[in-house]
Amino acid sequence: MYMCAAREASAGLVADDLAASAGPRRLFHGLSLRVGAGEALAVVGASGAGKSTLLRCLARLQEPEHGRVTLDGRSAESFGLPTYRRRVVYVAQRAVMQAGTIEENLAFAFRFASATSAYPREEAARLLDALGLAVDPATVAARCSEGERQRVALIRALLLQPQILLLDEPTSGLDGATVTRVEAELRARQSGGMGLVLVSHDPLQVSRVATRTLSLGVHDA
Amino acid sequence: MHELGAKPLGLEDVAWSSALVVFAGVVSVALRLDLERRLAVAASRMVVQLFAVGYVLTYVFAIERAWLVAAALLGMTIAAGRSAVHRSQRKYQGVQLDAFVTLLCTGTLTTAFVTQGIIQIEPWYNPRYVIPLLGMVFGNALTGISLCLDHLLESLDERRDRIEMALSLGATAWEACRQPLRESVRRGMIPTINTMTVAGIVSLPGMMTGQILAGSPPLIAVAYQVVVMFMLSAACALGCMIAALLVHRRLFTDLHQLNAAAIVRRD
Repeated sequence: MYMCAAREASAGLVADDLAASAGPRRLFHGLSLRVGAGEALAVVGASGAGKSTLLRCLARLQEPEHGRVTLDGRSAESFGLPTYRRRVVYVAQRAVMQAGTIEENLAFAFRFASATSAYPREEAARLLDALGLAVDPATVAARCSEGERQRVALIRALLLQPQILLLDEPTSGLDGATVTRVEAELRARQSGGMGLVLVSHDPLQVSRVATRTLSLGVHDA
Repeated sequence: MHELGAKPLGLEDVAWSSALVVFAGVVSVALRLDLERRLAVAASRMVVQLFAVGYVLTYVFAIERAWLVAAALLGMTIAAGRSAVHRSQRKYQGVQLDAFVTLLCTGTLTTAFVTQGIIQIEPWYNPRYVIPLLGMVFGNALTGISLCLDHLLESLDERRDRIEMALSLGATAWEACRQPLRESVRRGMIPTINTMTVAGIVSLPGMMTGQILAGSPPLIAVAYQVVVMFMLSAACALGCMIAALLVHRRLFTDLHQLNAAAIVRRD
């Protein structure tokens, strides 16, 4: 149904013949895509079309009803799901914070058994600055604004140096100047080889960031 | 005094004591509390239930067969499992079985430790010891387990975003729900710890009171009560841990995914 890759290579994130439903309503079926190094795929469509569900299936936080997702030709199970999810990192639309400070939130993922490196404090400081987050890292995260929490969630994901980043409307609560900063950082990461899957309702952002677009339609029950 | 120490009470004595609950009913009428009907139903149920148990225990004690004791224990475990689940605001498919398994393991291990290891009863199934001790274990473990279940299911249901955030950053299922698990076990254990803290100060525990009324020297009653309190604390800790682990096993997949949709709120 949808085919977003002309190449046959198995490198990068590949979804093959995915199908998912929400209750009796079919969200998508026969969906195939590929996101390689440095590519940015924008996923667009009306609310309820299944964009977030697609990202969750790609992150293997939920199972598609049909189809298969691989990274560099390997299943998530072969990596181990925690390791896979450190390489294919999903950032939800609503920025969820752990109890504690901004710094504790940024260091959160480096406490897990799947962590292979220590918390990169200097890189975190650089990203806070690059994304215009002029707040003390000792600030309690729950007291931050929605826009600040969105950027903390994005930095938390970027610190993992993901091979593929799955972003669900990452700039919906941000002003124009901050959106520019976020997009600049994403472009820099893409130049370094990171693949990006971006859900966005902003056509201008899609045209600025994406190298390809996948449009999901709304299906009847 | 009776040779065992306690004066045997007849039905006449019990009938006279009902004046006390009638007094409570009069208070309800006088103050328009609208509780007299519920009080009457509760008191009647209690009398019927306890006399029924009394007759069953008299029969079991008289026969003293292992299979009969085992059947009574199994019946108690099933009833306790149902009660633990019905107190919880949320449920999931299989919660009844999990509660039964939890109580079976908890009751068996703690009661066996006390009856075989400490009191060393003969025969091993002596119903005069096994049935009341298991009853006490269930009475306390039930409260702990239902509190633990309730809190854990509420946490997994309402904090699913936070748990999935941790999973999406590379946490294992265990790492993602460690905090709710820990809080739930803690919540389940607090009532037992509180009971131990005030035992003998605010009130004399029921078992000790019963033994003293039955003519036991107070220090022997105290020793039994201490053993029982230790048993109850272990039962509560073990029960909460097993319940939490079974919930974890049911609601997380092998792929470290949270199946929060399996949690259903009671109407």
